[in-house]
Amino acid sequence: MKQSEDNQIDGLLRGWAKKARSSEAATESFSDTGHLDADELNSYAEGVLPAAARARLTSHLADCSDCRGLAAQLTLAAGRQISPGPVESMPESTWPSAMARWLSPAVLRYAMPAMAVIVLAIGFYAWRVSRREAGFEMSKAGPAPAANPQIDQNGATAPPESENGALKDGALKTQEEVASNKKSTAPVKAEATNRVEEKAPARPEAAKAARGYAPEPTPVDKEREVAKSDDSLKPAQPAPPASKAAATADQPEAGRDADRRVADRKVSEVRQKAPADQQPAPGKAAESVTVQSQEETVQNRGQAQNQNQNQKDNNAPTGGPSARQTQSQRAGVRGETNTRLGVDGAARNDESDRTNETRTVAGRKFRREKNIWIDIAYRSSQATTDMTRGSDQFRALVADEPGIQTIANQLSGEVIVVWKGHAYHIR
Amino acid sequence: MRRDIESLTPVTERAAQIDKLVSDGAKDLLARATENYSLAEALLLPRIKTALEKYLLQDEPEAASSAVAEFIKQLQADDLCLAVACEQGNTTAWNDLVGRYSPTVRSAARAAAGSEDAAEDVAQSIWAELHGLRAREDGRPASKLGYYSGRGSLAGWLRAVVAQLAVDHHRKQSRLVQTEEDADFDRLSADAGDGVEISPIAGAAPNPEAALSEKLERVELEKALAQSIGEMSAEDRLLVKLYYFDNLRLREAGAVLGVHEATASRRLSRIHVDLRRRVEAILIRDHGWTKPETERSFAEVGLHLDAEIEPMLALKGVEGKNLSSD
Repeated sequence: MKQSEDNQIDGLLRGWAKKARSSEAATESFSDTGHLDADELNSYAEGVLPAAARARLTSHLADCSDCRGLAAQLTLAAGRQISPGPVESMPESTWPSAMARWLSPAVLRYAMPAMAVIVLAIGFYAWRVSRREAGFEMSKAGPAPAANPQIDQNGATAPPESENGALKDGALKTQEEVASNKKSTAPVKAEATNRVEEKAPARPEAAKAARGYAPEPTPVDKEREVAKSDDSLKPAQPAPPASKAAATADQPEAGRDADRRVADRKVSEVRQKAPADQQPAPGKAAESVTVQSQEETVQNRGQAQNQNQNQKDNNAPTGGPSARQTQSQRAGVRGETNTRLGVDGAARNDESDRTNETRTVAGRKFRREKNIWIDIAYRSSQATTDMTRGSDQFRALVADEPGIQTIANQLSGEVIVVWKGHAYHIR
Repeated sequence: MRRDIESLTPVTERAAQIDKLVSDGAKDLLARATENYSLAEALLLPRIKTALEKYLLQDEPEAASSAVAEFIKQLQADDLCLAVACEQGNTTAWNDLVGRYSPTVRSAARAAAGSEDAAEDVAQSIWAELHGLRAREDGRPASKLGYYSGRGSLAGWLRAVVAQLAVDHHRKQSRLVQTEEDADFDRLSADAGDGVEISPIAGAAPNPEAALSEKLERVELEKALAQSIGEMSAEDRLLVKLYYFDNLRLREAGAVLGVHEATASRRLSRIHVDLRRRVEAILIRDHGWTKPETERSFAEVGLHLDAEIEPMLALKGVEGKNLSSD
């Protein structure tokens, strides 16, 4: 209703009330039967009447100015607190009038900019997502065989590199199993396997692998592992079972901290044992593999560098078959590099560790090669623009592209980053 | 015996059921009261029944037993016991009543009466009425406390009694000592309120024929408005009367209706829309107006209001001059 119409009817009512008020005579005494008695007036004013009785009295008050005046006076004296009730519906609104309200200039004035902002935000998000996907596609199509889906020894497809989050989950699952079976024997392990299989009946082999270690290694298995490790430097390696398991296993968020603590304790125990157990028994080897996969999970949680340093210190003396198996298992859990490490103990040195390291910063993935963090989108044929941190050129660049600043801050040392089609070599 | 039970009509069963509920309620009420003045249950039964009949069964004869029990449970146990004990002539109760409610009666009398003397008169009258001026059939004084149901608070009931008595007192006094000045003032107010003898305002009515036509239109419009208001629900009508007749604020009018100010405001907006639609419909249907004519007539209301306020202000100015010269 327009304001002017509201004012018109308001004015009409005021004029009419003025006349009617003067003609409304109040001649009868309250002792006459036509009025409400004191008890009714008080009960009405205090709002303690049943609904029907209240409606009856309301009807009288609407037509009796004397009682109405007293009821108003008593109501105000009672000082009853009234809270805002439910919103009453306005008069029936027809479809066209409702549409007209929604499309009125007053509404559109604010609605249109808001809609534009929302659309732009959605568009920007979609663009970012598509760019990220494009980056992954490029890395898949590149010369590095790592990103290609692999066929493991059981014939199942290994997850691509982009499923890193799922891999982490799988590794955490492994920790959970280790925590519950820390000192388990073979029958107990078999039981644990059955539990996992119940959770993922479609892929029993993945459930087994989710524990982070292979079934009790037989001598033949051990030989096969060694052979696989020997081939690890070749491209297009089949992903180990742990990778596949990681893609399917699911770990609840709540237990992760506890699992991580258990894993840390286990890792320290194994590290203490490691120098003494240069040639561990097959059972021990399996346990060591499990521990290594736990450690990898910790690394994936942002402690990669420190963990690597510790690992380097602790694992350097080891070089037996179990160590090789451990290393190859780690590569499978990580799922981020497709180069299988460690033909023997000597080959597993700092260099190889760093070579395998990858990090994600500002939505981009970097792998570390010879102490240089290289954007996985970078091609060796691509020309780079060299610059030094703190130089004018660098400052000018990061002023325009703050994302590069973030990358340069988080990745120490030399970094090659591909940004908007250009490759920058930051020293 | 069996036949007797079978012959009970539903009405008798209902009455027995109510009696049982009232009896149980009276026991509960006496137990709830902080001070029950050793009242017998039988003394409370007629009071409870009267309240039940007056506020519940009169409007809902078939009210459920649970509703009846709830109604009795909501009675003010302390206040009702005090009132009944006073009515029975219990001295302790009477002293309690006077000691507890004298300030309430006095302040209510002051608020209702115009002057301190009048307030004192009203307060004295109240205590006399509460004690009982006339004798009942059983020889006891017919106390006004016999009309207290216990539904609301005793303090509120006393305020209502004082207010009613003050109004009656004022009217009696007004009839007896109405001065000539009062009569003149009433006449002037009535003339100003009628708005019938308003002198034509320049530009409002160019000639007598147009003025007459306009006046007829106005009469029809107001008749339609009165009819529309009469057709509204009691709650809406009460809101209109409280706001436009009694000049209450929306907060106050809402409080009388038991709704928040915001709700009262929304309700008034809805009433405006509803009234306008009703008035237009009546004018078109019963008086042969066209839609543009109704709109034009509504638009002229504002002009008329302005026109009516000016002579009123002029009148008040003359009155003020006369008073100052006196």
